[in-house]
Amino acid sequence: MYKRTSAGSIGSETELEEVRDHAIRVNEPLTFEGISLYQVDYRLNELATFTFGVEVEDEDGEAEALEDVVFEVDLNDPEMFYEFDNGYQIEIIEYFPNFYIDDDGEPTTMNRIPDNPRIIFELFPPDADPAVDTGEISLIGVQVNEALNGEGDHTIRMLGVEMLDLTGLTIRRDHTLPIIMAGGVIFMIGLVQGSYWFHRRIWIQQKDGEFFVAGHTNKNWHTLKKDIDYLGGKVALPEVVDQADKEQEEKELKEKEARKQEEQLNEGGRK
Amino acid sequence: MFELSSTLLYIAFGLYLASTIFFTVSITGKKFKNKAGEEQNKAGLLGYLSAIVALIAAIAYFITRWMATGHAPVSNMYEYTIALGIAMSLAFVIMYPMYKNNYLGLFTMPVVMLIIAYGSMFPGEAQPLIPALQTNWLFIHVITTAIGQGILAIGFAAGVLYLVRMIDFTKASKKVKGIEFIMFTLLATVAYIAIGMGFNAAGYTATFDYVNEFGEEAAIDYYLPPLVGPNEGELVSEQGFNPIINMPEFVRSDDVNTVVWSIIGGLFLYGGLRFGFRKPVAGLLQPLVRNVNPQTVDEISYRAIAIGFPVFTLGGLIFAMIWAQIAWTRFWGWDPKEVWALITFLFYAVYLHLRLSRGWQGEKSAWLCVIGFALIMFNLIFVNLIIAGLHSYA
Repeated sequence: MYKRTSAGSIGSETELEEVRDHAIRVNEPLTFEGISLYQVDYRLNELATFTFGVEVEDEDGEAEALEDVVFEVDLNDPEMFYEFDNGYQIEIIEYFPNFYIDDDGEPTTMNRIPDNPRIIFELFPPDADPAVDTGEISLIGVQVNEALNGEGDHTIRMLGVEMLDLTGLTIRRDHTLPIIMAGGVIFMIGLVQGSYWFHRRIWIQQKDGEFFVAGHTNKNWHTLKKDIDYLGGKVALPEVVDQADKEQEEKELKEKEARKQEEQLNEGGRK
Repeated sequence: MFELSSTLLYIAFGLYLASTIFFTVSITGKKFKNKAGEEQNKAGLLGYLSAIVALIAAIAYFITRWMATGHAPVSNMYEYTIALGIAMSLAFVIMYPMYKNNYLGLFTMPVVMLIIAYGSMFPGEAQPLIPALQTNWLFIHVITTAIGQGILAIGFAAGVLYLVRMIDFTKASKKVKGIEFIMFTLLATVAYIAIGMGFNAAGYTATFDYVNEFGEEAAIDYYLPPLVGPNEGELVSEQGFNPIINMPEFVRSDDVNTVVWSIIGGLFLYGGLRFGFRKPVAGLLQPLVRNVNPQTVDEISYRAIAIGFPVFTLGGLIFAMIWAQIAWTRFWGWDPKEVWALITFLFYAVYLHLRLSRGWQGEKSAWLCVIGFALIMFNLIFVNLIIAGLHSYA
């Protein structure tokens, strides 16, 4: 990462000072001034450059390659015009990085990524004048090579292809992050306090020769009960019975009796 | 090192089994008290000690596997499911001294064994990590989440214990059906493990040529006898037979076949118990737990959830969001796993609120514990295996 050292309009060449060197990888974004750069995607063996040559058909119909006319087309940013020493000129009329035929039957491109590149060339032999004549027009892509205006003895051939490994970077700036972080921290503190800090108290009051024992707890009923049992063991308190346990026992006893009665009734009915 | 870790896992599993047996003995065995009224039956203590030693062996498995593979062993279904089982036993070891309740051991240890055995059904070979997982956040996020879910699973065990104790099995009711469905699910899991291990030991493979979802010819291997065949499947191996029906192409027929086998096995086990004893299966357990104090069990399940909820929130949501921000450029992206983690979080939040402010205690809260655990398992199994998302690492 570099920083501009001198003022100047944006885009103009200025002195750059290295600020930081950081290899961006998945899980290791580069963050500066609230902006983060992430690696989000990668592709291997993407089409990058095509190399073309030109063949000439002589009178016998045999093809012969023109050694001087070889050119490269950068698929991400093609030059549109090529001129050669021996007078040949080649122009790219149309370039479709990701070719398809749209609903109206027109050839067009889906996006700027050269997944399915097609190029329409216009070739001018030395004796033709680009300003006046129409050259030989051909459509070339991967495994596609069509002459569009049919006449002519020149053919453009694809000689080679270069591949490139790509990675996708995403740039994000999110001002809400500190707020979300603060929210998360406050939430966790509250949750942990509420869940892990218990309190319990037991009061004992003497009134008219009687002892009143009372207790209060948040979510820690079991320990409160144990504390009261412990107290009962130290001083001669009567055994404390949990109301809920007692109710439960009584309920079950009643159910049992009801069932017994029912059975007796049934037996009685049978008799 | 890798073999050592597998051996340690076997040892741990054996010790969990021993612990289950000890806890069973502590409950069904004779109660003999000495003159001071102290319990002399030490089986409960032995059960707890076995659980501790098992946990140590399991943690040793975890560490040796970590050393052998070079990354925290929580990166696929095999590793995570086993880690969840270990986390549950860790939660039990922490919670047992608070209540010294042997019934909790009786209900927790089998669930731990079931989870670990289920996890070991997935392929357990060491795999290299994809780049998004190559960071310390892997173990920070996943281990915290596993521990949180393990503690919440104790709430499930205590909830089931409460339901088995309290439900009236003499009358047919929705509650009886509900608890019987839980028992059936557990038995179907047992059946799945038994059938899978049996045919695996026998080396069973049936291969089919079939037409896959893209309309292409492909081959598929079945490791269980093919009751349900693939789309336009043709048997090409010696083993196997012609399936009863063939599935359409958009269904993963081998998974459906496995599910069919599990359900049939579960029905056999369940039916055998049900008609053998002429009683609901959970009703068979009820006499065992007659002496359980329902209030205590209710409190245990509530405590488990109160302890597990913040841990789960921290690991499953907060750490998850921090990591998502680092690896995927956004802290929240409505990935299926994120959504289900949020649903689980909200569900337990509702549980706590209903309990504290609406007084949903006892049976209602026990049912909620069961549903919460079902959500966790759904998020683990179905979201990983069936729904495609960023978390599909199995």
